[in-house]
Amino acid sequence: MRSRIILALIVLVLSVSPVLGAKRYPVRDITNVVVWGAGGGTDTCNRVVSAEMAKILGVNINVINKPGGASGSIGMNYVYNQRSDGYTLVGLSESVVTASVQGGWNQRMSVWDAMIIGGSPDILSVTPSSPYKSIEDLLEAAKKNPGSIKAGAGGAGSIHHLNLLALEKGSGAKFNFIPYKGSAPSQTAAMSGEISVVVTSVAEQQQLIRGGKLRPLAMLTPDAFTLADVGSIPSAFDSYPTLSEHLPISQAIGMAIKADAPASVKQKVQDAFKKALETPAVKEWAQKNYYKISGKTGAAANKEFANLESNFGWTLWELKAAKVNPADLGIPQI
Amino acid sequence: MLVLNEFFSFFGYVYQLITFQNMLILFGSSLLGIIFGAMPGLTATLGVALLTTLTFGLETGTAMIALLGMYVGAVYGGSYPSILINIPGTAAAAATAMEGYPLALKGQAGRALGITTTSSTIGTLIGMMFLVALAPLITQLALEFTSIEFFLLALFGILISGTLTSKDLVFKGWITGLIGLLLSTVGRESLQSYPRFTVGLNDLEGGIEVVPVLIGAFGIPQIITVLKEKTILGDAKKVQRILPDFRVVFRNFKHIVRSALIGVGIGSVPGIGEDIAGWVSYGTAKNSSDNPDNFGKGEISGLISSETANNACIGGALIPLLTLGIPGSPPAAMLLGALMIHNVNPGPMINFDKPGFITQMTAILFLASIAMWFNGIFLARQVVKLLKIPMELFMPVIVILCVIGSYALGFRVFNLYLMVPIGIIAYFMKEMEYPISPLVIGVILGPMADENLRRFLMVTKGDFTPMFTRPVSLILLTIVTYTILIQIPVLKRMKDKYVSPWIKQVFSKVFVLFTGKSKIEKGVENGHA
Amino acid sequence: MENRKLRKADFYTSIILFALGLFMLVQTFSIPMTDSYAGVTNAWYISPALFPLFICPAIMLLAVLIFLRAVKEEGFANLIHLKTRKSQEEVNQYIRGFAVGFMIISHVYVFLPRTDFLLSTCFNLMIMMSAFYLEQMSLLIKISVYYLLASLLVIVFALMKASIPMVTNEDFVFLMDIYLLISITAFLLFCSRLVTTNLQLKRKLKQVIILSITLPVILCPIIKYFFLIPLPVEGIILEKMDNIRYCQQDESWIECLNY
Repeated sequence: MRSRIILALIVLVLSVSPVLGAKRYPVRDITNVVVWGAGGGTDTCNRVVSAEMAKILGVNINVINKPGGASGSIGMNYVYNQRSDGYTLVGLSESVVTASVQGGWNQRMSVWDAMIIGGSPDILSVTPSSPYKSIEDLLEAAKKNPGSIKAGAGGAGSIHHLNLLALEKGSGAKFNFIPYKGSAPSQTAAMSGEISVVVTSVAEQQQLIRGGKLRPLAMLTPDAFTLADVGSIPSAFDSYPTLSEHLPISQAIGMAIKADAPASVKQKVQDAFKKALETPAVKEWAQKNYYKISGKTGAAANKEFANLESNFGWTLWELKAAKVNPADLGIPQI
Repeated sequence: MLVLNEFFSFFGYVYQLITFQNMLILFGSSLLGIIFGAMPGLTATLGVALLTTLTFGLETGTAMIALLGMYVGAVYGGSYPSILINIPGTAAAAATAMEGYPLALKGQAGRALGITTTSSTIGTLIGMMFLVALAPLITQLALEFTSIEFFLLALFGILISGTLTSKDLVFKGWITGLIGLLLSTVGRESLQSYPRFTVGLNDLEGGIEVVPVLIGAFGIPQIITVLKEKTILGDAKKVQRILPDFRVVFRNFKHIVRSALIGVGIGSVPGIGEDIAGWVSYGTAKNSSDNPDNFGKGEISGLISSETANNACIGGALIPLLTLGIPGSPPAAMLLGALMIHNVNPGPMINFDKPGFITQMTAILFLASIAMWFNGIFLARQVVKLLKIPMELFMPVIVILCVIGSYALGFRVFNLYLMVPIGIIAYFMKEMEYPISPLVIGVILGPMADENLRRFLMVTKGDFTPMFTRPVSLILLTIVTYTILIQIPVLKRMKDKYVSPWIKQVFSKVFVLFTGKSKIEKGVENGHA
Repeated sequence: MENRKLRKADFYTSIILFALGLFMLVQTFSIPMTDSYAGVTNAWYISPALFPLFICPAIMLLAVLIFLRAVKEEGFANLIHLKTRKSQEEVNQYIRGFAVGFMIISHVYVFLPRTDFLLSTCFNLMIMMSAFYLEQMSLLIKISVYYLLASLLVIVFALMKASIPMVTNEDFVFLMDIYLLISITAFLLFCSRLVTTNLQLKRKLKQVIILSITLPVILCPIIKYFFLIPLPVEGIILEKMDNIRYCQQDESWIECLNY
């Protein structure tokens, strides 16, 4: 018995050799690590697009969730520590740019090559039982009694929170911000009346607005928006043109690949991404869920993320919500 | 009238769904779900996530069959290792271990498995009935829950854990509960992202996750104890009757109904789910039982309470999910993602966008619970044979499964680094008769209590009065105060002397009204028959 | 534990718990109670310190109560007196308990993060199963010592790696895998020599070897390919598995295996 064991192991050792880099890409399954929780906007967008990309590339793309840390730092750290061979992608959104100033992640966003799927514009709504019938009503009331009207906008430091802050800056109104654990709980709180105002994206609110559980007042983008069964929702910019200095801050949900992956691999992924966005499945899904497809890749996408990084980072630093000075990380102030 | 309409269309859907392909997928995913739930650390959430990816290409209805089959199976499957090796397969089944394992030690593992299978099925069915009939009403109630109500609910859950200890150990139970709460404060708290107690470790920023704590606290002490003391599970020599005695089910009818109500209630409150439902139901059963001292030694009513509640919770969790788009429990959150991928947007408009969808889901839930029952009874017979494997071979495999389970939910090796010290400390605590379950409950409910209390104070700017003026809050406050007060021995004696007999009288009078027979008459009949 | 021992244990643990509560309380004081964070103005009732400020004193109070009860029931003098006599069976239990704890710790902290998951699982199963299934205290001790030495060597290698920056993580894993393969072979030889005398033990050892190799080989592909859970460290064996899995896409099998 002893000799048989030795023989078996010698054969095993001889057949071992270090794995060389793959000559063809892709030769095995790709993993897409989404840094936010299951069921959220980033998660669903990534799943839908990844499924189409998988068909184009010919291998499975496993979408897994690794939420947590400071703005998704756990997921980003995990992917960053993997090999830059294109087999691990990260599914992220604009909110992850704050991970560095919150001390969870010590790189710049430039280590990623981003591919932006798109986003949904932000909208401001109130509880149906509240007395505010238009955006002017609300903002004038807020100006008269600063800090008396309770408002929610997802978590502290999220893009919706920043939209609310930009609204306050541009109009001079002041709200009492109540943080929640995401967009969905803040919408629920608005429905139940715990808060009066909520700012989240159209994609997240549309069901509730159409069902009469929330009253939409205005869009936080330059254009009005038409929602089925509800009609046209005006833009806040119509009554308050000064808002255009601070808004819009648009969502950028997408995925990214490590910038130092081989150029041929990155090209293949980007091509698959662009083709996936053209498929009828993705287009129909985006339309039904009120997402505006962006499709930016390469330098344009990276520039957008760099802008977001600067905007978010410096805003959070001014709000004293940041642990690390953006200047220390080399983030320029735009 | 509307309710009757719903029932008719419901049976129509059930009939439509019974095709060969659908049944194959249903039984397959249910079986997979049971196996998933049975592996310590693999949760229902993970299972639903896995199937979401696998069923992406399937048509919506078929995908839903697979997902719901998996969900129901996984919640039930957690009871298997709870009973057989005292290590809960999922947090939801942790309370099942308290009565299931003593039964297994007595050689009645098969009987315990049969009872949990049946009670889980009944629980799921009752939850489903609530979904069909009362969804809009419950949705309205769920919207009444604001931060203060969530806080009181979390407080109630924590207090229940304190009562799960016997009288000698009350202090010890509360101390472990407090330690659990302390553990839950580690990490970046959700209101201001301020890192508490993270000692500079990035990995701790996300806080301490429940699953490694659960496995560490329950699994590792069990493994060490068994290998150290060479415990053998009760000899299952006699051919076991797996199919439960239906008289047992009838005798425990009131437990079943109460547990199902607790399960549905907790499920329909967004955010908390099956884990808490199981514990609260078990705790309530123990508190209102006639022989609380038998709890922990194999009390059937405790077993039934825990399993019925955690399955009824499934139906409850689907209510806010489908009517508001707000998931009632963590696996329901995953289900939400799956639905959105299939272009179904749950929410108030769902009856416009996709009429009949809710009824279709309840039909699927009905079939899933039946499938689970068959799978369960079949599996239980096989699984009991597993007990014959020598513990010394089985336990190392459990170690590996625990390692995978802790790692799987976030793919974090750090979870393993956490699991081991927690496990070793839990082992010593167990040796010194500190109850472990309050610690796990503290870790689960701590964040909810903390966040909501502070948010409530933020909204009211430090003012506590709304706690007493909001109706739901007042009800919860009364329940909480009651739970605290009856721990005081003087008041407890008064309750036993005056309150309980009065409640019993009221119930028997109601029973008479419904059935037209009095207990005495029934007794006489049985005597003569 | 019987009552007397329990009270004695309570005596010491309550002191530890009190210290824990105190320590955490001191830490809590460094959490800010004022000033504004993340756009949210702070106040005493919003501060993250609120919850810990309630919990820590409560823990301290309960620890004191447990301490007092222990003293009341057993008397102060009795508790300080430490020695108790232990029977041989009790000592054996302690050793077994220690061994299990050590094996789990070593697996999670030393082997798992640095070597191929399949190999480390195999090794751990082999060690744990043989140590306990063979039911001889002498064997258990010898096997545990073997595992201890093997882990210490890994730690030494890891320290060496830390001082040579050129060795990358992947190379290190590769080297560790080779080391582990050698360790496993050595262990098998070691074990078979130990049990040559006893036929029953030989049979049991064979069962252990078969189980500890086949179980991971079945389990790992299921986890990787069916549950889609990427394993912590994918070294040579698991990468081989990857290559086999995707061989259908390549032209020749031999070329494939040489990947």
